[in-house]
Amino acid sequence: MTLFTLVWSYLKARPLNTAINIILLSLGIAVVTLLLLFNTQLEQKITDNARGIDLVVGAKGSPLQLILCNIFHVDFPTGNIKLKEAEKIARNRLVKRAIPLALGDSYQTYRIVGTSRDYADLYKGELAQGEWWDHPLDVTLGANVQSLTQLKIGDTFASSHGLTTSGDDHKDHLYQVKGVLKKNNTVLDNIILTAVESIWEVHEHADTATHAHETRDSLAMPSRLVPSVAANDSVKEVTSLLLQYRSPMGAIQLPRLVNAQSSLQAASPAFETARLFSILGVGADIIMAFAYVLIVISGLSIFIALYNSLKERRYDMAIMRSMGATRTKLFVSVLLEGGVLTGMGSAIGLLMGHGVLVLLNTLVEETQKAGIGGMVFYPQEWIILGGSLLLGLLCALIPAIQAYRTDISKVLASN
Amino acid sequence: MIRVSNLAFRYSPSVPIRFPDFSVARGQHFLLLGDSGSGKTTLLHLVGGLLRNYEGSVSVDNTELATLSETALDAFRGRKIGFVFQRNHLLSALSVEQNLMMSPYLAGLPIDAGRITDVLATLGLADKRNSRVNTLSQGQAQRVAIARAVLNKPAIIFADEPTSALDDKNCGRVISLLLEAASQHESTLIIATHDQRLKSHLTHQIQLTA
Repeated sequence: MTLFTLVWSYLKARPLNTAINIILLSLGIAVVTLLLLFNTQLEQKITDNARGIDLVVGAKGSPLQLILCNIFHVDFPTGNIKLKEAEKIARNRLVKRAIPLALGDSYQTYRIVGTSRDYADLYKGELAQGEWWDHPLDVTLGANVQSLTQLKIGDTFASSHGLTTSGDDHKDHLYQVKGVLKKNNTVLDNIILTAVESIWEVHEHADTATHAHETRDSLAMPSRLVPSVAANDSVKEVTSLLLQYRSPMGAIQLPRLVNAQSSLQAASPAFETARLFSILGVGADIIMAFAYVLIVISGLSIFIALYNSLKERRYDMAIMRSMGATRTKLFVSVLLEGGVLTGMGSAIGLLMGHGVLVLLNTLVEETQKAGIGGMVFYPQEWIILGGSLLLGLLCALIPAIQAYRTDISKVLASN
Repeated sequence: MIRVSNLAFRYSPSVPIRFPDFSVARGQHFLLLGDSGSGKTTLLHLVGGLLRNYEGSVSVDNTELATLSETALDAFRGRKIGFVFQRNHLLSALSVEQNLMMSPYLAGLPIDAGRITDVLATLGLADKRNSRVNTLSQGQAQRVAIARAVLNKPAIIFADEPTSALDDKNCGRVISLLLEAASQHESTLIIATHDQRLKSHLTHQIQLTA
């Protein structure tokens, strides 16, 4: 016999009351946990993917779209920019590193990204098997792409235009898999890497492709972005340019320089993702507020349950006092009852939060692609647990004081 | 064992309830008689340490109760005194056995399962050990209450109207069980009642008048 078994017996004696209190609280806690897990992982993902990229330069359009498309590969390109113009910006002395991206095609919804090796280096991509792409139409697959499409090294496939699965639009140009990357929880996992030239080859007519090789002038300076073509090539286009500044001065001068040109725009990943979060944040805040309302209601419900049950248990309290229980013991037992209720509620809520995300992960491929999992634990969960225990103690405080003040004689005499 | 002198208690400052002086020796069995409202329960609560702030003197087992702190009084009650009340007031959420376990637990004594078995057997409740208390009849419940009161082998057992809610058959059974249990451990037994049926069972009597 301990204080806990006593408290537990009282909770068990009112199963429905106890259950509803625990369910109410655990629902609120589950929502809070879910939001915490989802938001933190998403934010982590986004900052990880945007790390090392100070500025994205692309065609005019929505700056948010430019970021979503070129960093996270979830939106469509804003259009193309001339390689010649991109080249000019890449050669600016404030630019430390410039990576060209050529987008437009996909395979089974996985985007094919024409770029330089710098892009893989940016995310510290490592080969799991095979080798890096070398020639046009060679590809290296991200880890998730490989596991979900089951493509093997040496396999060939035709890309389709845009991000849809319908129809193979480029049957006459087949890509060949050369290597597969290790999973590293960045955007690399979900894309297919290839050379910029591959995209050109697929999209240009055969004659212009050969024409490009013919016109290659030994006197012309090779392009810094795509060495196989001349720096002043006026035909070739890319989708965007990812820039890394050499110094903080870049942040002041480069965006203005880029935006001054009529056909280009520059977007800062840090600024745009912050803007994105502030847009999404409204929705998250509303859900969060709803969760807090649930938690407050459950606290109120626990208070009422304890208050009422204590009225019924006045005699029990007096009897326990007559058997030698101190006032402190009764006080603690009521606090414990509140603590046990909220402790269980929040423990179940935390489990539910993680469980829902694990379930979501197995059912919805998108969350898996985004790399948001349920088996991740954050220190903030201790705060949730501690906070709800505190809530329990708070709700039990007034009933506990009543128990403390029980007038034994008066209660026992008032049959 | 119990000595009461010049005892008075005030529920309201102007109207004191005064009690006659009396003393009870160890192992004696007393009947505290009086009509409703004559102060039987108040006296029992005073002597049992449930009610404090009295005038005069109440000495139990050579301890003046007024000198004990609230916590010390709790411990004193738990170890030395067993109570049986009119309505049995078992803890409804617990089983019969758990109700009995509360007695040593709250008094801070070790829980002796063998002792629980013995007491239940003596009171004919051996098969009710794991029953829930709300499945018991009134007579059975009153016997569980007696079992709980005697479990710690208290020096004194106070019973407040233990039989007034019972029929003649159960009344006879409960009173003889009380006397038996008290004699077994040489406990002092004081029964406050207006139940005339008990007069024939106990010879020592204190009469209160309103």
